[in-house]
Amino acid sequence: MLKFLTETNAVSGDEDLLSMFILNEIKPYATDITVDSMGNIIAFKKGKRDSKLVHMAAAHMDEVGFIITKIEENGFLKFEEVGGISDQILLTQRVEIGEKKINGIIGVKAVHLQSKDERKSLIKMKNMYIDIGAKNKEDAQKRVKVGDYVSFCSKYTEFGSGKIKAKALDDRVGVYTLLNLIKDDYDEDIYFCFTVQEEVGLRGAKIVSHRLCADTCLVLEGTNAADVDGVPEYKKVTKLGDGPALSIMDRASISNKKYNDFIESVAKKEGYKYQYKKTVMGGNDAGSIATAANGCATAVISLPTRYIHSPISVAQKSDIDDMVTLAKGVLKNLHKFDFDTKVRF
Amino acid sequence: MIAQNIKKLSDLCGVSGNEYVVADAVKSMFEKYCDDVYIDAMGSVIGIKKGADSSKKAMIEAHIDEIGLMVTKITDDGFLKFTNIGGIDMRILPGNEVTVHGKKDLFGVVGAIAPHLLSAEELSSVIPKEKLFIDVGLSKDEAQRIVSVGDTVTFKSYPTYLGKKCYAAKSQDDRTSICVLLEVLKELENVLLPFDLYIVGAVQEEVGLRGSATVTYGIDPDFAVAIDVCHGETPDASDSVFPLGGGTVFEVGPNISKKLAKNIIKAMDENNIKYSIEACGGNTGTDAWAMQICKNGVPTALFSIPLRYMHTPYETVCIDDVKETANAICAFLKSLKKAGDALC
Repeated sequence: MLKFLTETNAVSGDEDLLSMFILNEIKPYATDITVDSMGNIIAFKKGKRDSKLVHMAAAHMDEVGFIITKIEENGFLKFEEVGGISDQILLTQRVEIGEKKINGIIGVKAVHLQSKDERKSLIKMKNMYIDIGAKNKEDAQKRVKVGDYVSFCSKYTEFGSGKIKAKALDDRVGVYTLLNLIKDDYDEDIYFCFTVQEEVGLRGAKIVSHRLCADTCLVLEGTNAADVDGVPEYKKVTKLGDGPALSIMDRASISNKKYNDFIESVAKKEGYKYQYKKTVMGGNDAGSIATAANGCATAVISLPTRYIHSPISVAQKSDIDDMVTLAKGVLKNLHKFDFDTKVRF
Repeated sequence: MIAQNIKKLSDLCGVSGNEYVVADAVKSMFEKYCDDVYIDAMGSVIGIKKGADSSKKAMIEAHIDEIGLMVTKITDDGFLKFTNIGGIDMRILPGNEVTVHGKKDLFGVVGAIAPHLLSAEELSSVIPKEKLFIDVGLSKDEAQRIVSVGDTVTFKSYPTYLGKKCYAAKSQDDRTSICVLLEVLKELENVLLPFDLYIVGAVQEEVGLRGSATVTYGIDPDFAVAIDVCHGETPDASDSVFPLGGGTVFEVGPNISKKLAKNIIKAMDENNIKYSIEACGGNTGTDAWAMQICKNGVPTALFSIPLRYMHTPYETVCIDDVKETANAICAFLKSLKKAGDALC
């Protein structure tokens, strides 16, 4: 399942392919499904008893990628990023373009042809090009067009001691978790939301949370694991194998303290693994959701992921299982959680 | 046949000095067409196709090694530090996949610290070589059981066609030229040449044109033709580059025997071969440079196949150019009534 989810291309604004798969998967389990104007999927699941509060769980469907901006006379393609991608990891990457998945390579002239100065300077994305083996513009136009979305091409690979490599673990692992969660039954009513356009500014979640006016939301994400060579201990944001991560705050939101305490209490009682994310960098849908409408008590559970926003994201399989377990434990116990945050005007 | 061979050969891994797997495969591929095939002391593969007069020898050559990396350290956290074997643009490594050839082959990625943790200055500059590392997903103890310092590392690419004719994969430099050798052998399967033809897959080109020197010394041919790759045309390169699909490239200059060149060009013209001429004022950077000054000297020529993104995981060639290079060499060899015709 995670293999399929990560190998499916769904760059922000182009989530349809993944969306169709998700709709098919959740159909047997959802009480009601709405797809809104931007493409967000809102799946309502009736609880075993009447809920006083509106509960939401969310993950974003989209991934970072590129969009074709120009087809040059020589048949090479110019492109722009969709979402945040470093110039440092692009050269000689294999990519797939458009619905027909046209194969391309982000090219760069050979080391032999680079001057010493050139070798020392970072090539900017605007100076890069994609090669699809076209003879000229006309030949290229038969296969691609301006506006086609571009994804990294990266096979889901299991390696090392229980690790996986894939593209788009941010946030297919959240989608994967939601797909697992919705299959179970809960006491409370829950809206399972698969959002669009997180990577370009937390945009899909904005209108979903406005529509639902939820009281609580659990956001399922992928986050940075900097447990790699050359990073000092205090900068190791999260570590692979230490379980899913809870957030205290990031650039976009501050997690609801009571929700975090609740998650911790569930984890401690059941002996579930978790760690805290030790940075305030980054941001996710929680930023849109927490501040939507009258505000929403929001917490984040995220998967530690090395080399996030690259074609070679790496995660620990046990962390994914632990994330599903913890998130399920939280939703199962929601009825026990007295948020007492409902402010009525 | 080119399509199958090009995939088979470029999938194999053999960094300079560690070509054993490639040599064995090439040996068995040569055996189908050769009267004898052997591997010399340095590891190069040599096939002999007997001709009418065994006192005369011609040699056609390509190299079987590829550029790569070598493990220099296993860190306390199990990451691998490395150096390069052959010329590599270190800027292409972050985000790419590799195979570490330890006691067994290990999958790995060249990691890069996430942008969120880098300063603006670090983000806008090239990641220094010493900060790069390979992540094989193992602890130090686990890694040490499989990996040793000195193990070689190759790019892991997922070969693909770009369009119908361009093939992108690792180590096309110079396995694509081995395909040319095989194509020549196939074309000449039922042809009796007026001399013995030596077909060579040489080792250690990428670290200093070494294998071809000992092979040429051993054979001492009357003339030799090397096949390698040259740079293909891309938007960021305009000098000394050739378009993919434009045919083969024939080299001229001090590295190339003038008489040999004259006769090869004549044969190409007579057979309507699609070719370009590349003029090189000195070192061609290919095995031809070493072969020319072996023993008492060997009249040498050089064909090149245009290739984009040399020394990266996606070296890209046009299948038609591979075929045309083989056609050119066949046309020349078939034009010779006797070995001496090549140099008259």
